This record gives sequence, C-alpha cells and structure tokens, in this order.
Amino acid sequence: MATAITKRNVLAVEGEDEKNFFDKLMRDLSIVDIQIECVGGKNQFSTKLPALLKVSGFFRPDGSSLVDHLAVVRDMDGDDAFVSIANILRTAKLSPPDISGRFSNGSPRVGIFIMPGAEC
Amino acid sequence: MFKSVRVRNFRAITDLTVDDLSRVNLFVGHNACGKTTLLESIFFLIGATNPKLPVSVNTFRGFPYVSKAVWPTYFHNMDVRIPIEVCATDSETGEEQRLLIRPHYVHHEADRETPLPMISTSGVSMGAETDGKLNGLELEYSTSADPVSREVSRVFVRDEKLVDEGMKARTPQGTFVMSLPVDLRDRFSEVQRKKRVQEVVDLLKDTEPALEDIRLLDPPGVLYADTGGPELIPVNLMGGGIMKLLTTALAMLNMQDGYVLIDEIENGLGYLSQRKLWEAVFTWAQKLNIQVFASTHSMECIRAFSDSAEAGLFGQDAKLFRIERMGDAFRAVEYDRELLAESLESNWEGR
Repeated sequence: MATAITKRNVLAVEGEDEKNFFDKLMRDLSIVDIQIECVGGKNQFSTKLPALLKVSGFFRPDGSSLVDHLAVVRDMDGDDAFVSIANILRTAKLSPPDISGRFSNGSPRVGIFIMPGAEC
Repeated sequence: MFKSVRVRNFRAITDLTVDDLSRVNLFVGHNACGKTTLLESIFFLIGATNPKLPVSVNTFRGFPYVSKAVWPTYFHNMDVRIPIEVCATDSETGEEQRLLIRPHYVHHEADRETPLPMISTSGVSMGAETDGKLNGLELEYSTSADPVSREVSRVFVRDEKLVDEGMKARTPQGTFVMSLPVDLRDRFSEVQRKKRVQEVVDLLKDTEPALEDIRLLDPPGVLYADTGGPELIPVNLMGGGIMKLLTTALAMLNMQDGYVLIDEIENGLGYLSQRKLWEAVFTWAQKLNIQVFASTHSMECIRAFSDSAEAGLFGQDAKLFRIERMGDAFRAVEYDRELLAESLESNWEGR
C-alpha cells in the first residue's frame, strides 16, 4: 500500500535510523500529528524532496497546501547542509527559513534542522 | 503531438489543464476524478469534425442514445447554457486547436432545425438558440492558424432517428481503445496488409507462449489463434488479457502519425504482460509517431509503465499525470520519469 500524506505536519529525515528515532520520540511525547518520511540518505534529498511534495495529500487541487509544517532534518557532514536543503526547497517553489532551527512563514511553513556531525 | 490540453465544462470537469504532455502519457487518480472524461475530451478534439463522436463515446460507456435526455449529460452539471470547450496546443507549431460543443435546438413552430452554417465568421454559433427544444449537439472547430474559419457540424434527432450534418474527414486520426469487445476485422486486415502480424504475435506470446499465429477466417469473419493444437481457437475465447493486448496492438499499428487513447490499460493483465504491453506501446509510439494517452487505477500498472520507460530508454517519452479533484477544483500533477521512479522507490502514493 503506497503512502499518502495524511497528517498536517511532515518530517523528512535521512534514513531509517532517524525515522525510528523520531517515531519513538513522538510516541513517547504523545505527538500524533506528525508524519515521518525517510528519503534514504543525505544525497537523496535533491531528488526525494521534490517527489515528496508531489505525494497525494500534500497540496490541494487549487495549489494550496494541506500540510501546515514541513521540517527537514539532515546531518551536517562536511558540506553546507543548510544551503543545500534551502536550495532544493527554493527550486521546489517553497520558502525556506533564513537559518537552521527555525520555520519560515510560507505555506507550508518550512523548517530546516541541521544536526551536528561526528566532528562537532 | 499535443503539448497541452485544456478542458472546460465537460461532464464532471469544470476546468482542467494538462501542460507539458509527452509522447506517452499515463493519467492516474481516484475514482471520478475525470480520467476517462479527459481521454474522451481529447478524443473529441481529435475527431472534432465528426459530430457522431459524442454519441459513440457514450455508447463506449454503456450509455447508447435512447432519448433526448442524453444531450445534457455531456455538460457540466447538466447545464447546457455553458458550452463545452476543449483546446490543445501543438508541440511543434504552437498552433491551438479549439472545439466548442453547444446544444442544438429545434424550433417549436416549424419543428425544423436551424440551417447549418458551414463556415461561420462570428464567435456565436447560429444554432445556439435557446427558444426551441434541445434536440442534439453542435460542434464548432477552429484553429489559431485560421481563427476566422470555423467548421460546424451537428448531431440531432429527426423523425426519431439520429442524423448528422457537416461531417468532414480530417487527419490526423485517433483511436479510443475501450474494454468493450469491438470488431477487429478491419484493423487486423490492415495490419496483415502491412505485414506486421508477427509483431502482434510477439506481444501476445508472453501471455500465451503457445501462440504461433493469428488468422482472420472469412467467413465467419472471426480472428483465430494457432496455438499448436489440432484446430484454431477463436481469439475472443482466449481471455480478457489477450483481447486487451490484441486491441491495443491493432490500434497502435493502424494509427501512424495519430493518437491512441487507452482507458484502463491494465484491465485483465498481470505485471509481466503490462510490462510487455508498455514496452510495445513505447516502441510503436516512437516508431510510428503516435501520441498515446492512457489511464489506470493500478499501482502495478504504474510500476510497469515506469520500469518499461526506464529499461527501454524511453524516459524522455514518458510522463504520468495524477488528476486531482476537490469539489469543482481540478489539477494535473506532473511526474517525469525520474520523479516517478523516486516516488515508486519510496512507495509514495502517486495515484
């Protein structure tokens, strides 16, 4: 059964480990209105984020968003992770935030959350 | 080939535009989202000077002409005051083709139809008068290359019989492949004349490995399959999957430089047969310069479409469009080959 967007808040993470971690965290915090989707690795964001935005249930037929918040969580890993994700989101015609750890004011509101890498 | 299509006020569709069409286009979406209606509207435009098409298309839907009550069913919300409009832009010339479908009235007093204007120079159809009884449909076709000339044709009822006026043959042509049984004799004869029967046999062989040949026996005018047994078998008795493959193959092989529309392309076929069918469709579409519009509900069919496009290097020729509907709002969500493959890999709902 293919996955549609059914919740008002979407969290895009790198891999299955992150998905399992956030899934457990949400359950422990009794947070139920966040849908976690895994892109399959940091190099996959550029192709998977545009695909995620096309999933049934993300936007209405009139183009308005059914999703209130889209949060993207990525490891730092050397490159400029924030700029990389922000550019992908801009190309997809979303409004990324100015800095990591905040949400923008667009619709959906978009947040980029860069996790410190092993070197930090 | 069409680059874009816009449909307004046709059956459930209020206003839907599909841009950036490809050579092979697959429409998906929930039930009643307008997939079949979109195929029908493209078919109408291809045959815009054939006024019998609307009646034929309803017959495909299992709703043949039975009474005048059928005429409003083409219009959105049965409101015949708002004409149906189908427009398409050519991918090479940028020329726009436009079809308007309006109600046709017969006047009370004379009980006679308005004379047919073969060429109307105004934007207002002479037949679109509302002071009579709704008696049929009027089709008005024009192009941006010659916006002044309009070809008008009609289908209506006279003496309890369906009559058409103003029909003109035009190319390119199109074929609508439905799930209903159709008479394949003429199409098969043409394929036989072009010496392409082996291509049809090759397509069907994956589903029926014993198949060696297909022949038209006349009389009785029936297609028979040679499966190596002592006698030939009527093809119609070989199952829905075989018939789907056969009807699609014959439609494609007879439609060089034209359009083929296939509703519910997956019907009766498992994944492997669908894969084989898509590969054949991509190959013939490219080789014979055919633009294909198909619809499906099936995720398996979407995977077969994507896998075939990928494997056969037909990626540039393939696009999927999800038709979304919420109330009266419609939109087409476009997936190119790469986006579709990424969505399928993540098992994200694209239908």
